[in-house]
Amino acid sequence: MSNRDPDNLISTNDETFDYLFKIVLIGDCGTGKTCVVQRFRSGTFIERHGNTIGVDFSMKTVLIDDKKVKLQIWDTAGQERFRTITQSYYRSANGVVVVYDITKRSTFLSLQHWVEEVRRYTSSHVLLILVGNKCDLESLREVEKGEAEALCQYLPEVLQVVETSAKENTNIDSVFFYLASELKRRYENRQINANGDEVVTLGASRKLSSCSSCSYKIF
Amino acid sequence: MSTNMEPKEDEISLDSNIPETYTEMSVPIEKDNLKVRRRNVIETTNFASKEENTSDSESNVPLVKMSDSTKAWYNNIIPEIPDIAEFSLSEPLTNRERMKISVIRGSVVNPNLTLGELKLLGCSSEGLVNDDIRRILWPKLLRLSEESNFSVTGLETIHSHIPNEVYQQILKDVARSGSHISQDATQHEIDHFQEQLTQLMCWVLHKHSVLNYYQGYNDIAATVLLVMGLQNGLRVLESISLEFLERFMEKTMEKVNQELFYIFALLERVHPTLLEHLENVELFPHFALAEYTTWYAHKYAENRKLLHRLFDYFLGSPPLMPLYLSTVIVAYRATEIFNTTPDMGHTHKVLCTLPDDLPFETLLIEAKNLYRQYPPESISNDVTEYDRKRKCKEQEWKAKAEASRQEREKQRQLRIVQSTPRIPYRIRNYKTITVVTILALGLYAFLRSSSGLN
Repeated sequence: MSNRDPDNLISTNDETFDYLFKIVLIGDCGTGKTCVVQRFRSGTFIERHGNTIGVDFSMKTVLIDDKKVKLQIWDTAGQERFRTITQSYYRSANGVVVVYDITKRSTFLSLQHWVEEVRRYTSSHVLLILVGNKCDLESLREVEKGEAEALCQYLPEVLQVVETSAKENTNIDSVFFYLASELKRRYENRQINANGDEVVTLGASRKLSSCSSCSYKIF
Repeated sequence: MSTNMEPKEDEISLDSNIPETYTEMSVPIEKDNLKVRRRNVIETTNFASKEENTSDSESNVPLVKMSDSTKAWYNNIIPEIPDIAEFSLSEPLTNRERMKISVIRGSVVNPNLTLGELKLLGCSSEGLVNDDIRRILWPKLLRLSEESNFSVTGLETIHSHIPNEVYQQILKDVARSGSHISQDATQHEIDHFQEQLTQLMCWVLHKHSVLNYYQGYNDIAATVLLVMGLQNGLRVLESISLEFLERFMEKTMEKVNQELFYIFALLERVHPTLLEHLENVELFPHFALAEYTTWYAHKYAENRKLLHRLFDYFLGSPPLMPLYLSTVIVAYRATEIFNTTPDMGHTHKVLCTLPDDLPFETLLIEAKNLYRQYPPESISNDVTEYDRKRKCKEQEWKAKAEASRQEREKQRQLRIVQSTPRIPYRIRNYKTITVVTILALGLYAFLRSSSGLN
């Protein structure tokens, strides 16, 4: 009946979404950021992935509560000297995934530094998830999950710690699904809140006598 | 500690030309001080002889500043190009390639061949065609002096002379350089390749401590290694690093970040509507970062024939040439870019992904013409301006992020106060409080007055 080009059909399907969130992956070199993205995006694992130079972009749409949530994923280079370049991509990020390698303690010790980086360059309502990758290499483990959880106590912006394995496809999808659904939930809440008194609307101010939320100041 | 210092002093007295890193290099190695010390001593003699060998080429004028009319053949030694029959061919030569080889053979025998003409051989159609020719002419393009007996020993332990964190980074990237070797290489071949690649880079980085390793350097080094082999590759990579890659090997990538804007300054001249489009989607020219810093070795690692041909071209061109090629490629792909979802991510993705069927020979000529038309110095002011705008934008974002952070922080504190009201909710209302107060006062007055009556 219709003569629509199947390629175009796919691309138009791809264009429609209910929510759009930007996710940035950061973390030390060789922690497996690119492999994590690759596994999530295409379900494959490439053992010897080339190193990332600068930033890579990819996206995937996931269904959450029958809503299409499109994730724009920016995968960044881990080497310190690329920092000046990757910093530009933190802008307007909704979620940040900080990846460390459970078999390399140094990558775990850098987390504090990465979180600082996030604090400096993103707006404060960004959601942050810690991902301990390569959990299939149990025998080489250098970082216990408990340690990561303990660290989170000191990093209030971290939402969760998840151990993953891009190689064995452990928890990869759940990281992104969790992030997507949490972002969606917060976004909806924010919309509800926007109807309340959280947003200041200019010209719609009320007289002090009828302001209920500030009575404690008067008293 | 004092025992550890001894070899250093030894070395300094042996060779005053020693790189600055030397003082650092034994610091990161904590274990086996004894072993390290012994290694250093062995190395000392090797490096001393090596420094002498290459000192003459180091005193040369930088390649970029060398006039094209300089004689191509150093010390009048004319290189010998093997006959086609002697080539190790993976696939049969095309007619054009055969023709080019005979042009190369014909030109090379000219004792008065100029450097400009030699460069032209590398730049023009098909480049130097074959790795057997490259092995002979790449060192010539780089003006390396003839040294048949140049060889370096002690490469196995060279890594212990560079800072450990750099070595660790190199190991990670070398392990990920698999795309440069063929799919069906044996584990032994892979190990051998990786070992040599590490040694090659460590040698150059040790010799020139001002050069900072960057991710992507491994791709260039791998290409050099595959064409030149380890021993001959040492000085080729050294020279490429000093002549071309130095700008990427500074302390930070700030310079590269700025130079990438040459692409925008050039697009402004050759395709203004495309530039406008790219600026509308808020794209930065970072899509070309890998092309620029690796001479396409990161992208075309598996397409050796094309990659080596591009190296022929870049070796005979000024250091900023890759940016002109990137511009020409972007302009060539204009329609594709206009048809892409107009946002930063999608556009970045499309530009990062180079198709395999780009008409490179044509694009290389265009890039060269573009360079002639708008040499870097003619547009550098625009580049600075683009970069200034970028810095302003980034500053703005940072400020916004900071403002939003503070705002959030304030609201959070406000919420904390709100969530623990000192007065129960029911009487928190202003009206309630007023009424209760009046009633209380009334009651008090009534009680006072009634008690007064009694």
